Amino acid sequence: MSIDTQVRRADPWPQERVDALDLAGADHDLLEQLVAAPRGRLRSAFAVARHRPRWQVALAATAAVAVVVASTPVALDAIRSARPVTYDVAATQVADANQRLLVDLPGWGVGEVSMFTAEEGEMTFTDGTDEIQVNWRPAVEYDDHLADRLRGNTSVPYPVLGGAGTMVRYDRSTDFTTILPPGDVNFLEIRGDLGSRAAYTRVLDALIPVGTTQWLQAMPVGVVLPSDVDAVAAEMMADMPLPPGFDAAEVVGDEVTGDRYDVGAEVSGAVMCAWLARWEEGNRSGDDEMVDSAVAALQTSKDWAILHEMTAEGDYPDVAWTIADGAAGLADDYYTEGFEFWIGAQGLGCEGYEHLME
Amino acid sequence: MTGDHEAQFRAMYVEHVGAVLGYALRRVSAPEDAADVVAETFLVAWRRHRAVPPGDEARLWLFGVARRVLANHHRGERRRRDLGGRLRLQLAGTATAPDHGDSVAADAAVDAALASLRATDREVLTLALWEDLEPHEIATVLGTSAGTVRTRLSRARARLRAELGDAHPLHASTLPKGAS
Repeated sequence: MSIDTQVRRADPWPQERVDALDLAGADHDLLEQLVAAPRGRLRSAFAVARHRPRWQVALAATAAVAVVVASTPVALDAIRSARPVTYDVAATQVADANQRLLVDLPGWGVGEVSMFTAEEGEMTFTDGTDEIQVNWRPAVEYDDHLADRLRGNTSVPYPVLGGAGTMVRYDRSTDFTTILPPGDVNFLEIRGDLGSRAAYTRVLDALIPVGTTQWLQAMPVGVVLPSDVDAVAAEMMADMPLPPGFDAAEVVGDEVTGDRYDVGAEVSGAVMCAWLARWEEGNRSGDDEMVDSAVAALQTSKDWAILHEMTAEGDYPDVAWTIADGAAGLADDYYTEGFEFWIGAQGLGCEGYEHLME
Repeated sequence: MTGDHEAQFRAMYVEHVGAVLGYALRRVSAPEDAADVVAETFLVAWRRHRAVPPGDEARLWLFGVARRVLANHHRGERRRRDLGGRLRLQLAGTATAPDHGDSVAADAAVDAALASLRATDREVLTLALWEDLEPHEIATVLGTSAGTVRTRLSRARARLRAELGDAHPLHASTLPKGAS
């Protein structure tokens, strides 16, 4: 028997065996979870976890708002009494194009906003304990999406926001989702597991459409609106040394709007990766000066304001600083000892180092 | 563009989830851990849709991502997301250890020999023989050249042959003269 045959026989999971596994739809369930996840130019393949829901940090970090709402989300009653603010055209256009919902219940407000275009977006509402998720998706996807949700689950008609919604219950759980018929641009889906149908419908029934300004005012304080991204990125880069040839204008795309943590990871990741590229090039070519300048620049990350701001919310800065120290300490032997280091760099979103991860 | 992307992602997922699950199952000790590898791998694909090549190249790209996810898994990183929870439960409940039947001893010897190989040698060999990849495909997964893969494959086979040594029922010393 050849070596190849023996190794093949030792395969613990021949593909036909994998294909014959009874997954009971769990693979399909994962697919639905995935497509419900926010996407975009997230830099991290191995995402660095956050400590807390974003809204808590966003609000706690902003004294002016903390006075109004303390540690709760921006609730509707607070917005009603707030003085009007003028928003720029880009933000208003996005807001105008969707349903602009808020939850009209005491203590409920916007929790997290991960995506933000007219056609597609995701936001959560929370009272600090429970949460519902509202997605708006492209209208053309309505039929497929509804069919997917209905597969294997029970559903009932449920009127919501004046429309003929379809309420789907996942697999006899208390996890419900309600899908509204499509409008011109998008359709709404409202999902939540609040422990009971009654708790879910209480929030569902309390959804109300609001005006553009009111809706924009309800955004968590940390949210960076599409039109502000470049200015925010520039502000974040103000205390970062930029490597020669670095194109600051290319750092942040316009397809994703997140909060300051998202933008901060995007910006600091881009700068650190650019320095790491020079560090690697210097090591490879034996250019000590290039290595030293990169090490020094990476070390300045310990003073970058945005990373310090982000520490309250997640581990991204820790990873960044570990990499900065790694570059300083690993420079002599990084090809053989650098595996963990490059995995970490991957965590920052740096690409093109796969060949060093063997 | 968003609708197209989701449709493409769904099609890609359906086409390749079995291959990625198989890849993961072959390389984790507890079947349910494969769910995390699959979930994390496809989450990367979802979020970095522009990086995913079309057609069958996507499968190689996914293996490349799964490989790095797996490296993190083996470093003892805890699962960070509640993705794929049902898949995890399902695998824990239904995916049982394989039964090698009569060939237990022989397969155990091969397992041990494989485990003794350098990680890079083991990787090229198992990608070739378990995932049925050609050297140029393995090169894509690993981000290296086909020539390097061929060299490693050759080395891996030689080392495996040497490792199997006396434990191997078909070791040279037990064969009739002239057999090879």
